Amino acid sequence: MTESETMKTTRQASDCKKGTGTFCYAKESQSPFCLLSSFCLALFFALSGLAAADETRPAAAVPSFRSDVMPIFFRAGCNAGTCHGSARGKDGFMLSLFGYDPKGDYERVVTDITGRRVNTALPEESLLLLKSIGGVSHTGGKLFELDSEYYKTLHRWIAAGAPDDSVMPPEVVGISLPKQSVVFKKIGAYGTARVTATYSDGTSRDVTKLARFFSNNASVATIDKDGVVAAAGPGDTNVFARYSRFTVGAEVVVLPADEGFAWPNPPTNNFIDTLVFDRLQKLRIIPSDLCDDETFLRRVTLDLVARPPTVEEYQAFMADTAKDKRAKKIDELLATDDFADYQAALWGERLRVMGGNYSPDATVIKAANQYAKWIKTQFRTDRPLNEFVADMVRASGSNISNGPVNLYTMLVHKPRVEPKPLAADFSQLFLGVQIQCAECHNHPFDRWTMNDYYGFVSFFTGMQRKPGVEPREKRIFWDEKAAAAVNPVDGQRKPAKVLDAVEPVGGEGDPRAALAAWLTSPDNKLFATNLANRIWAQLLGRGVIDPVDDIRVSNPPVNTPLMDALAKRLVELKFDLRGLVRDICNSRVYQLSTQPTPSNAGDTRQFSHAHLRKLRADVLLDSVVTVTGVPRQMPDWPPGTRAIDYYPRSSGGTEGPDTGDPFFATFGRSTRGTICACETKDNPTLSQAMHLNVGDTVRDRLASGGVIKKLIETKSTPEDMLDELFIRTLCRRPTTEEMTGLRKMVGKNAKDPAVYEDILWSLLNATEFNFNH
Amino acid sequence: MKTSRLARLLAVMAACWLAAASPAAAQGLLKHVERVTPRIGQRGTTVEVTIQGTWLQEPREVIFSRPGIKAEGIEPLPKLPNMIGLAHGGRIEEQVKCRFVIAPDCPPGEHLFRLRTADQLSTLATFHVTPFPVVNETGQPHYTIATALSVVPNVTVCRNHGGSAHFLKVPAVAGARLSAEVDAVRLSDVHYGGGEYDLALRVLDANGRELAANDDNPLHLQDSLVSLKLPADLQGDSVFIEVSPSVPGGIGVTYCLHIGSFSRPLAAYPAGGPAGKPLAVKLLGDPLGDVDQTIPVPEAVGTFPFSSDGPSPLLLRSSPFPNVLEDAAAAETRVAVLPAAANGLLDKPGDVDTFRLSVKKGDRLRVRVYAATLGSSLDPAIRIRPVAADGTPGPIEIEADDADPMLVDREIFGPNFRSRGGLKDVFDPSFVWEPKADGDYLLEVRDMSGFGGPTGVYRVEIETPPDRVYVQLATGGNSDWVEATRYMGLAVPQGNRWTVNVNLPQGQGNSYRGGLQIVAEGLPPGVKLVSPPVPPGQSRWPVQLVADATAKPGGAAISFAVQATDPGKKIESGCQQWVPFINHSGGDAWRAVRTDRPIMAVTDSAPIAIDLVPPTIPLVRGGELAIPVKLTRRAGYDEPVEFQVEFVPQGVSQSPSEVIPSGATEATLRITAEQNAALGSGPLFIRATTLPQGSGELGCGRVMVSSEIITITVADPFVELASQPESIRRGAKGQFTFAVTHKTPFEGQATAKLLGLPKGVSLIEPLPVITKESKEIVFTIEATDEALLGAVSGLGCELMLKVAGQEIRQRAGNGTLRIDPRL
Repeated sequence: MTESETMKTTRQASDCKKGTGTFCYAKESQSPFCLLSSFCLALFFALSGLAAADETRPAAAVPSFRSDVMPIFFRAGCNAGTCHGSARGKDGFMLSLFGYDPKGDYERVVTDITGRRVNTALPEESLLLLKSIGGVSHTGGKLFELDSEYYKTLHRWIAAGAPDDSVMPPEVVGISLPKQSVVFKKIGAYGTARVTATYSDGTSRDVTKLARFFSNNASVATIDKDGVVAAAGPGDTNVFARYSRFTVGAEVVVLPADEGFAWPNPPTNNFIDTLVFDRLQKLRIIPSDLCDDETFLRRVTLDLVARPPTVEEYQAFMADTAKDKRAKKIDELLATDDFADYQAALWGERLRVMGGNYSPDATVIKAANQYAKWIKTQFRTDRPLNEFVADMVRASGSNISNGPVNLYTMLVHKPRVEPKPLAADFSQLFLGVQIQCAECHNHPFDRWTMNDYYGFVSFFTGMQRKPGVEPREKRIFWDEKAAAAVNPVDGQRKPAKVLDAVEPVGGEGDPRAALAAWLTSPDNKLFATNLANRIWAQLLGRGVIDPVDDIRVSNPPVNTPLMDALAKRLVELKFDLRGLVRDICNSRVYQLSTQPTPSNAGDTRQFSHAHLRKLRADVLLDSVVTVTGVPRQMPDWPPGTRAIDYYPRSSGGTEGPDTGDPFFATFGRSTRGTICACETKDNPTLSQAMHLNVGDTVRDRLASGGVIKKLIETKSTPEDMLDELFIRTLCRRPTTEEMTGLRKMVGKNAKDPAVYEDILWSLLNATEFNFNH
Repeated sequence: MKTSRLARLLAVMAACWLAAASPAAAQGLLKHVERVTPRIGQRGTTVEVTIQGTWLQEPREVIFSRPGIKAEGIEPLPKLPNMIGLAHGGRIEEQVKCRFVIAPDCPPGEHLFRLRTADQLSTLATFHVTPFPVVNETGQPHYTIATALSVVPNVTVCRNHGGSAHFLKVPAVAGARLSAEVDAVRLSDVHYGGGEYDLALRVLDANGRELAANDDNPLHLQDSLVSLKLPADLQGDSVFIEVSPSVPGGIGVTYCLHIGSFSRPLAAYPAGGPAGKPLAVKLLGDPLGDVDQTIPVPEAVGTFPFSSDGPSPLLLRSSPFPNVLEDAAAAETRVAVLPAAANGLLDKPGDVDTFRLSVKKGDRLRVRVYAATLGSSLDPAIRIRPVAADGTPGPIEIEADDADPMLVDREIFGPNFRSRGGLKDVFDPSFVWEPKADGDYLLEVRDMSGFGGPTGVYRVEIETPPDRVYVQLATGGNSDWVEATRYMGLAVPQGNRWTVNVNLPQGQGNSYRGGLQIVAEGLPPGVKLVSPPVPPGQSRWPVQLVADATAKPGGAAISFAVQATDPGKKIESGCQQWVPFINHSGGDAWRAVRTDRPIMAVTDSAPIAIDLVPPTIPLVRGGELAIPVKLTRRAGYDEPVEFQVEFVPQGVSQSPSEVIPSGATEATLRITAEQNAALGSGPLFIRATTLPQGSGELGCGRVMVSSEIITITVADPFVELASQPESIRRGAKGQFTFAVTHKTPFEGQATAKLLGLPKGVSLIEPLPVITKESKEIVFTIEATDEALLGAVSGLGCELMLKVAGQEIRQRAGNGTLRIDPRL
């Protein structure tokens, strides 16, 4: 829906929800009920394009178990995990979760407790009905009324002998809402979401009364059990309908009051600005101003090369008067090995690179080293991301001499390859999709089925390890004799099949080549979206889809055009990481100030201003080292190792979480215990503050490196000295107030290192230093 | 991380403990030789060598396993003032110096030796030979290009890496070949180690540009090598070679780096040829291009080294059948006649080579691939399928990937790797194929993971399996399967005996099932081998070396083999010994040294000799036999002596080791036969060992001798006993009777004793005696109120008798007694 399609609406007569409209809006001025009803109906026809005549699926004389009865179980919540859909059922009655096993459900409903749960002689005496209407004690309480359609349908089915489907009814192949976006201009406005299911025989059916609904943010918009959407507060969110195995959503925007709103029409640098500003304008949010040069320099240096700018870099940048000096700086940083190394560190964390000394895990230090080295080489040589991933996916051979094959040793740290966990982590990492939810039942909040899951698992059922030529080595290979994974519901093997596909990949032998080809194809929107979103999240602090590794229908992008454009751009760039980073960093959106405007202060989703981002643990440690000039001796690593090059090493196995150096545990570096992006913590803690205050990281570096003493020798005045310390630490000169106060503190001790060490200590403990802003 | 810290803490504690431990307390994995310095010498030179370890007093001779080096000037050095503790209980406290005279034609590479002292033959040690002058670098480290050590090729530079990278500066000319090879893992001489031996190489120009690099490689595994043609745009007149630990940090170990212009082929094609004939090969992988060369193939069948001008050879095959070379242009290559060796190259990823061969149903063919074994980069797999009548490939009849790791006769056997890995040879399939039909078959060769490249050489040898039985010195049951000198060493005191057990692994596809006779070759004068004929089905057997009183102390490299006892039957044989040098906790050995010529030595006469009085009567099933042990002591030698059975027939068990106390000369060995012990005769021997203080688990410091191999016979029991359930009341006397069935007649009387009576029931003397005429044994018993009511079972009878002056005990019967209450 476009802006022009929005209306001033407010919540009106409740009967509107009885209408047949989809996103049926009640106009504020229409008070008479009849007028309202007819308007809603008319509006529905106008907006949805789905008239009643479009419901082409005729009602059967005898309800179908799969098409009519099971949807009632779903709608009433009978087969939810908290009720009879739990693994052991509830109160002696079990249904498959969300109805993934119709055959089994039929047996359990009809043949268990014969004559009681379903009584075909006296249908109304059936426990199934009595419990549903609260006629007898029911832990789940009353679910619907005696005169409801749900009751009537179940009664008719039981009265007809509770038959199983003699012929398999057409399958639901999709559901839809007529609009993907709705805008409310006023709190209290409402409308009804109508859900239409389409079937494998081409028919369609209004299933609004059989669907379930939920909202992602009830403080913006609510949706009730009948699909009535109500505006609760300004902002944007999504509401969803689920029916059968499908979930569909629609964006809901609730506009703030428009008094005094005037879009400032800020300049745009590239497509990112256009799409973000479009969104902001729509939401009546005014973006912040551009950040200053000092802030930009520090921000982009920390983001791209994982350290603060040096004094020399600061002076050169500030002295540059070229209009495109920011773009030049971005290019300069992108061209460094440090950029590649930092990206390698981020990927090393995602890929769970850890080194041990327990041979059966195959994650010995040498293997980890080879893997880390290979990853770094890919980024240093500007390898396209799709090729980088494809190399790992296809890899076979030695864990200690063929780096990329360690995808199959590191992703899941176990003595043998375990296909299910591997498939789950693979999907989460490379697609952002948590496919594992479909292991026991069709994905409840996405479109993936158990067949999708087991077909995907079959890409890995042949992955094997065998001993190599020395104790540390394992040879990773695809065993051609391996069988495909079995879907436990039907007991059938599901040959390797990519997500979204209908047919298996086919062919003989190792299917991973086909997997790699599909995964990294420019046509695979899931892959490009996942990568682009992760790149964006690293630079902006939050994904367009967030969290980045839980992409699903029910967790859509906060700005779909932006997400699509970023993914498309990555494909256009042939998966060139530096290219997309260049675009993002050159955008005005990236360069916005953290200082909010009145209208964007509450915005945390739409990138209207920069947000304070706590430095990653490794970046913080390298920043301290850069400022003080004193390296950190990492346990089990050679002197001079940077934090971003460090991965945990141990003398045992690597199956458990490990951050290695205790500094990383304190400052939230990923434990690499799982594939989850949430392993990296960005919340400040008291122990972090205490560590920087009194721990050895800052304390031992103030004097030992002699930085202060060297500066004293080269700086002629205390002012120069203070300037240097501020630039070195915070990438800015001290304010007049700061300079005055600190100069007073220095007093006559202009050559006393102790006073400057205190000042440096203060700067390193400042929030300004610990955050990117 | 916690694990790491804990491990480090434990390591420190262990090190402290080792340092504080007295020699007598150090009962670890002790070796005689723990360190040899230097580790390498140039051929044609004489090198001063120091050998360090324990129990090296009175050094007499260094015995090498192959010609090329002679040791002279052997003399002890003063004992170290402070013992050096090593991992797992090893220690260094004594040292010996000598000169190694290296012949100009000495083969480069590893040479194995043992040190003979007055009464010891040391554990295995190694020394390496290089064709180049050796620079032992002990100066300041050369951590950067700027401080690189300048060397002139061709040269071998040795130093301790100390956990860091080192740089060497080498004169260079654009377009020239530069080769560098590391010896580190192969140079190791420690019992326990790991990644510190794993080094990587890089060649850089003056600007730090990487020109070549290597870490692991199929030829030498962890020992890296590079060979490159220096680029035309080479900057400057030098290049820099960086040697660094693959995983930086850790402890330092000694490595040697060979630097030169030598050729460094990575493979030869074909990888072997007919025995005794010249073979045209193409040497692959040299940076200046492939080289065609004709080399002589030795008469001896097997794997042989081919050396060019470099410090290490390539391995090739000598086979008693012709070569067939892959026709790369054809879809398949015909193997006209079998046996044959099919040779090919998987020269690109995904390559599959196909050979067509004609066979008959009933043929029995052993198909064995040689690729990884010889240093090829392949992990080969084989498929065999018949050709259908319409000429299309039929269904797969045989598919083979790796060989059974325990497969013995692939010219490696003995290493008992825990995880059944650790040998590259295992990657090469080997199987016996019995075709299901007459006709043509296709044999496909491919790489398991679709790898292929210019050095992807393979060779498939197809032949009727020859009858092969090998001899392998049996290891003891030590953890990490270190060399167990107690069991495997071959030191024979003058005028005495030493016996070891050997395994007799069967060749793949063996059809010979007859008896065997173990023989030895190369024994020095005055030494003979004694080994009873090996009956069919035996896989472990004792062999005894006997040095007569006139045998001069000295050593020799010998070999063992088997012959068929079936006259006219030819058995192929050989022997092999593997000694692990770097063990890895929880895994397989990193490196094991192989020799097919064990070193033996006659040592000075021992202070003890041990003898058994051969029994003249059989050991009966379920019975025990006492065998007198006679210890002969040299005058004045009164120390305790331990003895233990080392070989008994199947089903016979022996008592644990016993100690004959100071001054004593007699003891009794008791052996028992299980009820199901195999009937018949078999060998038995014991070894006796001195117990000097501080001697180790492996026998270092101990003088060991063995008894003669005697024959014992397991026979049916004298009697079989049966009983009916009996009852007795508390406070009453009663009888318990066994019915006697005589199985082996005996003379005289046997005293019987009832065993297994419960508390409160006692046996009333006199004990019954029986003769060969007796029909039953009747015991009188009495029960008191202490006896618990109810039935007890398991009552047995022990017969004690003397036959031919030897005491025999036999246990039999399984009776049941019920205790009833008083009336």
